[in-house]
Amino acid sequence: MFRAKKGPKSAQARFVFIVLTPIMIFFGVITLVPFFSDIVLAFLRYNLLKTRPTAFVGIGNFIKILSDSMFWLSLKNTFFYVILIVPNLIIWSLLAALAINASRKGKAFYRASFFIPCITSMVTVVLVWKFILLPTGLINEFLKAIGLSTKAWLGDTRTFPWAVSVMMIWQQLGYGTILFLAGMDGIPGMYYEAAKIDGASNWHCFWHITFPLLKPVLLFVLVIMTIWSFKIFDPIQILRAQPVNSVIVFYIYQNAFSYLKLGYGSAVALVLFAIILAFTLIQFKVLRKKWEY
Amino acid sequence: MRESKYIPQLVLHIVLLAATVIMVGPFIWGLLAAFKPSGEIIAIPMTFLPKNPTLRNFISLFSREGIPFGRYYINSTIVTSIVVAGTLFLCSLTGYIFAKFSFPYKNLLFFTILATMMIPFQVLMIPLYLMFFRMHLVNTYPGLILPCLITPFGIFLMRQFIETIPTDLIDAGRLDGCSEFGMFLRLIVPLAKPAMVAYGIFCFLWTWNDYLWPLIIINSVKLRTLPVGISSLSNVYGILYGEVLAAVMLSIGPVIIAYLVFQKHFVSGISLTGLKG
Repeated sequence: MFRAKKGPKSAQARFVFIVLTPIMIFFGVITLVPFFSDIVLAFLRYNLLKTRPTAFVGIGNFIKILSDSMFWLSLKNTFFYVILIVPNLIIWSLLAALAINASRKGKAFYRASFFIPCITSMVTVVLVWKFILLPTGLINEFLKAIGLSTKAWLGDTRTFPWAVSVMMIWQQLGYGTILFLAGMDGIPGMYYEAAKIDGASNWHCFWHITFPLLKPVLLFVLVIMTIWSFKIFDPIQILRAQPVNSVIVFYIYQNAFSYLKLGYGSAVALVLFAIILAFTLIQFKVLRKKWEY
Repeated sequence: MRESKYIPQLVLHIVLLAATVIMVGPFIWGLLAAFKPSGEIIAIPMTFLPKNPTLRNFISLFSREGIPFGRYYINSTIVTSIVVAGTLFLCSLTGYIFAKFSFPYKNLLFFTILATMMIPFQVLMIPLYLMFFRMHLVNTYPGLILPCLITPFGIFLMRQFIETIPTDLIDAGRLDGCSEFGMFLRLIVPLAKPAMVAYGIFCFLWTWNDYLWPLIIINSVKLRTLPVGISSLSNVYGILYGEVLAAVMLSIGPVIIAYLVFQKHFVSGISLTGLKG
């Protein structure tokens, strides 16, 4: 195809070749090369202060990971976030979408307002909530006013994960809501009319029409949100969380850029990748089978 | 019987309005606090509207030693503009080629691009940093910009959209003697506008709000982007909540304004493509 030909075909071929080659090389350099380097790095002991890796340790890094209590703690914390955030996110954004969908006026207004936290940066969300969650902040004042006890939400390491989870759910809620709303827009009104004529109640309509037809959107949101929750990092770093509140991405970051142990950090990163991949595949397999007609 | 329809709607609206307050309230609270003097912010009992509204927080923000807030803004603007322009160009060009041309290994290449979407950035960040370290790109604008210039999702999105453009139009252009690249600029780009707007917004939000990569690649104060800069501000001058919140409000200002103006595009972009920040 790249032989010198006369005519328009060769102009096309040249165009493709000249444009695509540098772009693909560039893409490979910033995506594929790092990926494979990461795999290689995971098998090395490499301190960033030295210009060359110091030793090939084979699976030594991975074995170290198994007995690394900080790793397991970070992983446990990460799972906490995944388990707390994902179901809440789905339930609340679905409820919000149902509510907005049912309202006759102001749909666009509600949809737009719910989405505002999504467009702000994580730093913004964390700092605004840090202010609200102060021991003397809005939340505690509110709790005092209705007679409940106050807590140091972000200062206490036991309440810290709960507070961060609320922040994350709050931020991403709008995203799920918009996707569910878009899904609901795709359901023909006829179905509901026909069901109502047959005497179906609202709950009936939801469970037998809305919910089944939203399943693809649900699966999508579930997978995306799970992957996202595994990668939570910003609040932990911005709030200077205690080591006992560390998450896996923070642990990777610490190893690579604070302790300068690039090889070990890469190994942990690969483990995270494997976990995310496994979760995604499982979700697809299990839920697709059950949910597709 | 008709009357009973209004009550459920009323209840619904009350609930939704309460929810809206929860969603937007924290920002409003932060905005109000930005105009309160430091004493009033942590005072008990709490005030809602500022008793002594002041601009001092904003002013001292710009005169803090070691925290060049104006620079952060400029850096974020420069980086985001270049990234958005660059990625729109590269992704639409690549998407066009994958959509409308055939060449050897095309399917394999496209499949590889899609596969890389599964790789989280956290896996790439260490070797990427190492690579940039060796190329002396750490702590530079190119270091900030380059990894964001082309993404698999962008290529995928543009390709899917451009595929729907009738090939007859392109053939007609060729018959008229238009150059291949000219065809891209004059024919494809205008027709691909919806996809470019959706992806452009996504890219803008992602780059403007990005925290992890700028955190890694930049270590001098002068080159920090807004998210990293504000985070360090809050850690150094943490007790000056007024200033921190003023900084936060200034940083989300442009985003909120752009959002309110281009609302439809934001929402339809997400609905169509499922892209998230």
